[in-house]
Amino acid sequence: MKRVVLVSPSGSIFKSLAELGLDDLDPGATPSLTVLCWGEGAPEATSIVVGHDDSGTLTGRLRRAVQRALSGSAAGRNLHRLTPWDGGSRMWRAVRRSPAARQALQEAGLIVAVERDSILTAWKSVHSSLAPDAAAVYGLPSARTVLKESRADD
Amino acid sequence: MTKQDAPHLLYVAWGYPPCRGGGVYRALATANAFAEKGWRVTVLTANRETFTMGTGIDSTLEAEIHPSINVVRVPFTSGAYQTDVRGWSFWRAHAPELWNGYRARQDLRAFPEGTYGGWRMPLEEAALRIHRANPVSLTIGTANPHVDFTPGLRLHKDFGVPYVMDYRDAWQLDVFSGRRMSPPGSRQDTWEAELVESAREVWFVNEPIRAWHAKIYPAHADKMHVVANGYDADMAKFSDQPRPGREQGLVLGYIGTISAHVPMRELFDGWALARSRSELLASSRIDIYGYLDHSGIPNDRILALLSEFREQGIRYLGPVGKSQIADTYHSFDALLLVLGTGKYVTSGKVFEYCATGLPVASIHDPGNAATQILEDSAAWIATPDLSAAAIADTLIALAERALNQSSAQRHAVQAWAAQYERSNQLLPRIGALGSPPVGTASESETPR
Repeated sequence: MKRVVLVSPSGSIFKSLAELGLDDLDPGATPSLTVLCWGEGAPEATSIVVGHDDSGTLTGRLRRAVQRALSGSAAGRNLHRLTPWDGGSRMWRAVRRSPAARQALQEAGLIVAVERDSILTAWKSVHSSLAPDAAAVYGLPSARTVLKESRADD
Repeated sequence: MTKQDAPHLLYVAWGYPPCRGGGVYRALATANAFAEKGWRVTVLTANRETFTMGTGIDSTLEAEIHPSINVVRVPFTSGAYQTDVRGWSFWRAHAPELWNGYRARQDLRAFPEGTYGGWRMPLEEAALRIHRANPVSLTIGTANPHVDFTPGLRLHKDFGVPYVMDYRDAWQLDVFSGRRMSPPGSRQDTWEAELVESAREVWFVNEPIRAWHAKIYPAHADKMHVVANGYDADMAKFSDQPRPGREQGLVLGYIGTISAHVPMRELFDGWALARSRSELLASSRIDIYGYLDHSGIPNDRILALLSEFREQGIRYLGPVGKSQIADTYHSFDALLLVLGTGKYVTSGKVFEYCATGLPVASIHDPGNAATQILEDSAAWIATPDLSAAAIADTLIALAERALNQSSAQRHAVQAWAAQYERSNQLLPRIGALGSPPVGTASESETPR
């Protein structure tokens, strides 16, 4: 496993990287980590910023207001999934627009959906020509297990 | 009594080490406590992959299992814990919440509990195999999930084995809203009524939840007991020395899982207001440790909130392992107990918070059951309501206490909190169950 791409729109992953268990690896066997996120990156891992925070713009404020209004119920959250403002769809559109993100996914041996809004990007990547051979999992516990098993196979 | 003559406990807990979920500590401690009292203990739990691929694990917890305990793992195949995205359908990937709802309904066929209902038959079959090989004297199921109760009922019906229901939460009661979640006559109600009727004992984590159930099942109130959570003594070796340098800026800490019920927005609004009114708090910070939801996947709303308040001295520092817990508490000057609203809500972390001796601010509805635990503490302060102004006042008062708490004062609080060590909660019940119960192994090996 040479490259692991973590799809984390919020960037929350930067504080949880230890959960991947990479400290247990030999330095030469450690895969390179790339985080796809909105906004700023962080020093903990290489990041590719796929878009910028639009919360200050009129569209961004409107989007957040709608999201907040709909987030209180399961029906509202599902309704929001159908709109173009759905976080998963926005992330996937942004990834497709980013050459660096596309390249990272093409080189990935493992794609990790870290948040709910990451799922569509991970799924679309492995079900398209972008990363047809990569493994894709939801959540860090699964990623840790896949990495551990790939080490055992190496 | 030889080891072979000792009573045999079948303990059913979906979440058991290496699972890292909050309920694991109670399960681990309960099974261990019975083993230490001489019982032969078999634990029935989910397979390791459920935890390695789903919830996440704390690998250090497996070493805490009493060496005499036999752990039997039953495969758990709920779709909610299938994390290989490659195998997901188009609509699961596009509408995960909707898919989760659909899947939960599928699980209800065997047992009325979403996600876990499908586990009933494999569990019961495993319990029967265990009983035939090594007759069971007593079954304890710990919930949730409530499907953990079903092997007890099955062994009772077939062989007369007594069982105990251990509720860490409640099934029909929403502990946050206080509302009944399933109407009388529903499948959940029918199942629970049957389970309670035949149970030898029913345990609850606090008195309000026990009282609610005693009212629903008055004929069985005398077998309902409070077995509170507690802190684990081996994890709670806390210093009584205040942190040097706190005058330059305090560190208020929160350790725990942040579910959607936890009023973090109210806390952050109050915190921002308090910082505008207090120089000390303006130079202080909040450090948050833990998971951002129960499932291993961060909660979308808390992620948005952390982003919104990132300029307000609030840091999210991720999960903290058991081996670092004491050092992490020692990096704080005071603690924030932020809980969902509900008079039935205690939380497990309240006991650990008490044991630290640090000043604690309750940021929750004053009617929460946690208030009953803390009200005798000399280091406790509570917000009267969840308005930003009230929380700001509470945080300013908390800062004052944190700044002035002496080593002797902290030590006194630690001594007071010793009553909440977990074994003090369990031992009375083990003692009561200790005599070989009616219908023990020797007379119950053949089916009824």
